[in-house]
Amino acid sequence: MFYKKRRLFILMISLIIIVGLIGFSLRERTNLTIIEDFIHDSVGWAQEVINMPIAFTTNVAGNIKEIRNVYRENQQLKSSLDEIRQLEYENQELTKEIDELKELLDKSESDFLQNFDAIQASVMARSKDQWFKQITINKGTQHGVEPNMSVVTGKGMIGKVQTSSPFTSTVLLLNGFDRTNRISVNIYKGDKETDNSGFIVGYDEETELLLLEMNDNDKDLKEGQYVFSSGLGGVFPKGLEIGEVVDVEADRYELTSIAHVRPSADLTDLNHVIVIDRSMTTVDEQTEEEES
Amino acid sequence: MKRMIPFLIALICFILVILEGTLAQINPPFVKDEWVFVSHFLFLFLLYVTIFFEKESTYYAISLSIIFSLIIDIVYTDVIGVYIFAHTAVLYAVRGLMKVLQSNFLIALLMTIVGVVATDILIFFLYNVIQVHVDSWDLYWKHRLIPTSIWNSLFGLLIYLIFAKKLTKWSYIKFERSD
Repeated sequence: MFYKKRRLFILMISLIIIVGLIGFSLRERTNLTIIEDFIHDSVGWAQEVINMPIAFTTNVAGNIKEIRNVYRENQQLKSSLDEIRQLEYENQELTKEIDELKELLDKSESDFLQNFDAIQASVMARSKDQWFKQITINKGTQHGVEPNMSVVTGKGMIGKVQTSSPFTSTVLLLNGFDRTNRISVNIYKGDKETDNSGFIVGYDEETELLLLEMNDNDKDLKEGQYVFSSGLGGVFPKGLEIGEVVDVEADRYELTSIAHVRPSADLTDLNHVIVIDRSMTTVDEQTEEEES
Repeated sequence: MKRMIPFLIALICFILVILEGTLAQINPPFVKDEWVFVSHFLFLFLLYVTIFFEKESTYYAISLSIIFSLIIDIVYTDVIGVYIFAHTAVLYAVRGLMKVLQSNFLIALLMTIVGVVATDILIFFLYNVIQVHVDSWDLYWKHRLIPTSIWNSLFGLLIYLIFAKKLTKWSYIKFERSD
């Protein structure tokens, strides 16, 4: 009799603890507790050690695969090198011009990619059940990584830093975004003067495309146009490439259009990423400072 | 040796927890893109600990499950508590079943498959309840449940080959040999 009662008692207590833990962690919170920091860092450290041989083997396998294509790629690269030289020259000229124009306007700050510090990091692990679209990287607050910084690869934006411990951080990938952390974007249309703006509001699991909600009904929106972050909203800097429009449809009430965007960066195969430190103060920080 | 055994098991658990995250990063070749493989290595190992190591009055698998599932919850997910609950609940059920069943190869294999499927479905439902995802059941079992259970059964077989004999031996050294 007593044994039965004790078992029920333990069951009840554990249920209460579980519900409490879920409640605790579903709260909106930006700072981790010390225990979490400690576990993140110690597991992260061991992860790096264990990753080494595995990364080595996958690297070798990848290299062997790549060797086959080397000749063809080399030919292509040589031809694009000339183009790059041209672009570099153009870039220099334009930067000079921008600087001159800035001086004319007495404007010393600009919210553009050149004003950002980049922090190199490598990916250590991915969330093991892939319900959480998270990866762990090997740089933390000690290296200057803070929550809400954006994370990119060479191809485009992949997400933002969600939490950071002293030596590791977790990154929320673009396909884990929802309405609570949306990105303000511009659509680049080459010939037009003004870009159209909208929000990335989510991700469609089945088609593996991002959902882009336009601010107004836009007839010019076509597939093949590129989507960039606009720098509005305070979290993401301006000018990060996000993806390419795949198709456009009207929303339920025909008031705005909704576009599907294919992310430029490959979100499934990530090895090295760059964390972008927005050196300008953002709106959030300013209001915080005013409050304090 | 006698005192070292629980720590040895704990060390293996820790390595398996890390391996889970590392392997999630690698895209296995020759499989469809939309298939998702979730590794439940810690769970598998603790399952074998329950089957081959545990005695009637000991709770090693359960207590290790509480410690290391909490680490999984903290490191790999935001929501603390789902894995700790799912792993421990299923291990407890298996423990109850093992009182009636014998510990041989077929039973171990059966328990592996049933255990992994039960854990994964339990986690799916818990996440569904707290709205971490909105995937339908249909999509889930096609893209996740089947690949996951195949992948984990294969790995379970590997763990069986490596550890089943050892765990029985350790159990003997720990509980029965007097030295």
